[in-house]
Amino acid sequence: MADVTTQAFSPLDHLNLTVGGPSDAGVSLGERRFVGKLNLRVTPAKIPPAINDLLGGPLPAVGQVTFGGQVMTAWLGPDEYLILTEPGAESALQAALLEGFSGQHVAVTDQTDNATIIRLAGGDARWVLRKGIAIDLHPRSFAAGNCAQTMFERAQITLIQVDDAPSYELIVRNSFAPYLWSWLADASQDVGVRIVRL
Amino acid sequence: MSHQPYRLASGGHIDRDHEIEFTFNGRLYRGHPGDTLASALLANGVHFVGRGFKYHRPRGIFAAGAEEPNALIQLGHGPRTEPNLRATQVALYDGLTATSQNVWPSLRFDLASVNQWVSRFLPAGFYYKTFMWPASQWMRYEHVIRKAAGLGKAPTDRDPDRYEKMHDHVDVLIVGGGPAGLAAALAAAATGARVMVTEAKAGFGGHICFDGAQQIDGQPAAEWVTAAVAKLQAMPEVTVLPRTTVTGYYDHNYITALERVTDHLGNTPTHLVRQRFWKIRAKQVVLATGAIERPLVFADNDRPGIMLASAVREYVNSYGVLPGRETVIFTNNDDAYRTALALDDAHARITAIVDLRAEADAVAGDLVAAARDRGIKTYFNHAIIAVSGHRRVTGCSIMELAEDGTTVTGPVTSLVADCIAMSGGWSPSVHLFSQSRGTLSWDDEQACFIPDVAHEATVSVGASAGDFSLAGALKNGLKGGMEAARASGAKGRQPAAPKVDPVTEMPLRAIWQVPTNAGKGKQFVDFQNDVTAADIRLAAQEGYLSVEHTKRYTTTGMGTDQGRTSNVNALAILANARDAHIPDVGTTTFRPPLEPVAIGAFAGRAVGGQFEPVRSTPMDPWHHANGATFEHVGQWMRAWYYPRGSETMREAVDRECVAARTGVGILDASTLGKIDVKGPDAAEFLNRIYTNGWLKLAVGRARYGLMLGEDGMVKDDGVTVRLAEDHFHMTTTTGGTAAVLDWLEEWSQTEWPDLQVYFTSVTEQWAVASICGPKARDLLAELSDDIDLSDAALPFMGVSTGTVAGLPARVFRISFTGELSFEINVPSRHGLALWTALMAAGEKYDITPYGTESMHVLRAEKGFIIVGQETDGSVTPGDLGMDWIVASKKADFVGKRSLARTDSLRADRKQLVGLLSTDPEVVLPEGAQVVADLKPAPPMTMLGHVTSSYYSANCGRSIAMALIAGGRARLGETVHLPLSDGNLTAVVTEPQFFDPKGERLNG
Repeated sequence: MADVTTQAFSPLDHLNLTVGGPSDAGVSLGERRFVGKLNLRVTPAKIPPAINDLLGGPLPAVGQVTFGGQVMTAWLGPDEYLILTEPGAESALQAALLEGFSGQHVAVTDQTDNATIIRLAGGDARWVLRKGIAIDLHPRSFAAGNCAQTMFERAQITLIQVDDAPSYELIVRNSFAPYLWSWLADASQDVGVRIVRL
Repeated sequence: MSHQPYRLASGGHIDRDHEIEFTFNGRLYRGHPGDTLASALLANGVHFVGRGFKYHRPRGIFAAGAEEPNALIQLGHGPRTEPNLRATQVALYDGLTATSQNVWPSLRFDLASVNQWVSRFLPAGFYYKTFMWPASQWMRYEHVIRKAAGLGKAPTDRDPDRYEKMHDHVDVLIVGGGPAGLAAALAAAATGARVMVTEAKAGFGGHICFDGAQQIDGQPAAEWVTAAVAKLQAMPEVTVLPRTTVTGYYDHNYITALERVTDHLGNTPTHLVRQRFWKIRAKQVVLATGAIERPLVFADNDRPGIMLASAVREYVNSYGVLPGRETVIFTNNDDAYRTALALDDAHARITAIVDLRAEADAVAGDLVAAARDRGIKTYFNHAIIAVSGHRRVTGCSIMELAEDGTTVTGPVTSLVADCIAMSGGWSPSVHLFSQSRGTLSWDDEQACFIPDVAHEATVSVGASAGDFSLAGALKNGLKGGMEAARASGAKGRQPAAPKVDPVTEMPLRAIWQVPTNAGKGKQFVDFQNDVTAADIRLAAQEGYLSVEHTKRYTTTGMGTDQGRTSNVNALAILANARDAHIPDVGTTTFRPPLEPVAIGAFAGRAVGGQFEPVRSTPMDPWHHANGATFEHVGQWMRAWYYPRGSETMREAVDRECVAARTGVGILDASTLGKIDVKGPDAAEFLNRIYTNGWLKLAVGRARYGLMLGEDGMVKDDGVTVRLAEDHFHMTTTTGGTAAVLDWLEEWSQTEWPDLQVYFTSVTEQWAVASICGPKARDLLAELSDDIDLSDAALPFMGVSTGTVAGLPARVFRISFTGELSFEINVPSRHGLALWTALMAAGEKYDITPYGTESMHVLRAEKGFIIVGQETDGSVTPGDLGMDWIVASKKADFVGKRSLARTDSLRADRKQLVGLLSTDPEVVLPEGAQVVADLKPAPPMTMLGHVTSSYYSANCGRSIAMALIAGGRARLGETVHLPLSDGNLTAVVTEPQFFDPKGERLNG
């Protein structure tokens, strides 16, 4: 029997996307496949130093993201965070976090396969996002390092602005990913879109 | 230029270097880029463009903007056709085609125009009076009336254009790009605030673009406008939106606007949307929406060629078009003199100005003086009493007004005119202010409603606030913009107001219904809905005193123009008829949308494949490649059944169901909701949220649970697995996933914050293949060498972790079919690999994929419920015969108290039973009513309804479940199902049909 253990598919693999597009496109669109995702539930007042070491700093404040080397942590709620790490690194990080919390009441749940990440970047990225997102994305309200859980039209997403390009990461549950992708590709037609491999 | 006989040699903002062709009612014409359809028609001498709604009288172009009531046209053809467009707003493009609407068979020969000769049979409230009896015929009447009233035709094909929505948040939104709006924008933008300014027309400047030679700060007004717009466009925090109409003003300064992105281009480039629907949240709003000129209500004032005076001026100055070669100006105010001056500047002939005011009351005005200096003949204290011409005005008769203005006197003077420019004064555009629940007050001197108390954070400036002077608009625009910016949190100094030479204007004379002694002419108030002054007086006579009633009875103000030009005149005539003061009559409410909006704009991208997300599982590509049919389960598309060859659905489902009980079947169960429950109090939490006991569940074991609402009614169900002492994996119904997670969080956060437990959704973390049947264990054994599948190691409701097909897996031995069954969970990236491995290894067992239909049949054979099918929010565990799962000795659980209510214990509650139809081949329809006693016609004693019903190949007959009043006591009884195509009978049974003792769970 064929070895199937190497067969792993992201929810967008079946769209057979072709990389490419105009070089002067207003936005680029790509999927970050299998990025490690750990959902952390914890009372933020009680964070052992070992955890800060693992995350590269203290937990993010409301609506913010912290960047710690290979790890990015997004605030999701008063006691909820999303930790993103390199593909494949999630299990080791999960174990390290649980060890770091040493029996404290926390939940560190692997959601790596629960969602994927679509990255939309470029000078017109904000324009395209505003077609589907009602929250204020103006830099005075939402800048690099900010995150929000919101609706993109009919899909629930976690939105992170990564840099001032601006680049955005849209974390979306697998089954909504094709909808979100086709929506973004369509909504980018007026500014031009380049599909990239990330 | 010979093609456009009424085009002036110079002037206007059109592109004279290019000529474009368009077709109206099948005839070819020429115009220029920058024209509207209306200006281009007028340039070709075409006034007569439509017919009235009720009397089908000829109607001409009346206005130059959104307030146009007459020139409603059907644009384009085929899938792009759009009805009810105002020719005054349609930008001309090469190849445009348009037709008149509300005419049949043609504009010039319209059969229904006979209505004008029988009009005395069509008074106010005509429909109510005529078509009410017999009431049963109303549906037929309505059809005929709608056809006769004809408001264009909707396209029947799919709209080929694309639309989108755009969200924005601004500090200050300025609605209107005239002088007041631009001044407000300049002031607000200078503070660095985020500013948006919208203008409905293609060009900014409003009236100052066509009002004539005015200077602002020493430069021509038009140049000031150009500079102001350029300055705003260059500012990074300013959004300038021409061709954008604010359509709705909602709570909390939430505002919608329609941007016509490509309508003026004719052919929409494929990468652009046709229209963009803006959803704007503004901290502060400045309304600079201008004002709308009112017509005068005089006899036969609807003849083509009779237009608003400002519109005549706009066509001359903005489009270089002369609406008529010989114009009479009929006015009650100074502003219409600007039109006389504009015509004179264009060397057009003005027959005369007819002014309702006495000379002494008007002569001190600067504009009146200017007209006199140019030698323009003016008849003061005169009124038009009659109009000649049918499809086009040819002249008018005037008489002097008697002293009180209610009658005419003296000799009749005839004037030649192919155009009458009329002005009855100005009404501020308070529609948006009114939509936002602002109240209005009556300004007696200017005879108009002006904004009074705002309900939202909004300020009105310029003409929309009743400030009609240019100097005032600029000054108060700056002030309003500045105050709005400051209120939004910005700081800055208010710029100095630009210098403008003041113009002295004298007050208007309000004569709401112009007197005549000429008899029969209709005096139109509402041109779009064909409402006359006589209709309003009749309504008042018949007792319609409330303006809201009068409006509905006469239909005045109820057209798509929302009575822009008619409301104040109608109110004033109603007030006069009631001998009341205008503000005491009140005003009607304006509602969004301000103007008709294409449905496509509201839909945006939510059409076709983007209407709704289609959720699919990791195994979905296999289902598609192997001929599955699909069904919607919420947003999910689940494999329904897998027909082989030419199998019917029944044949496929029969085959799948038999295979699942005799060989091995496989189901994609990935859509089940999955919640990770973690914490030292997790077991206690579950013990309270489920009806049964959870504290003693061993690690590595699973249990079925039923969740109730506080009302004791079944809310959700599913199997939950204990992975560790403080760690559970809960499953929920596919449809209930999000609601259950919310439910758990609600109880955790609001009722039991002392319990230490966290919930995390992992629904899509795991792909799930469920295999069942006598050969399920053999199959799984081939793919797993590290999981002991023996009954001892992995008993029913046991859980094990290991690998399946080399993939990391959690295997739950749980069953929704009553067969030996394993649910194999793998990380979702591997879902397809797991499935294909199982299919490959299962080939020798003739593994049979089955879909949701067979899943339903298999569970029904066992009498397992589906929440949402056997339950509907009014069903208790007891009703389902599931008392066994209610641990009544537990201290408490959600819903426990409600189960003890008298009503929850009634013996005649609807209870779940089985139904076996008398004819075993007949499948009872789901939802069919079950009655105790069959009668020829309703009412009958209704017992309940069929909740699930299938043909069961495993039982060799049809089976059904039903909720029936006192059903448990009716076992063995025969009940009736009256149906439209014949009555059925069935016997009440236990709701288990196959292997009632559950002996097959062990294979």
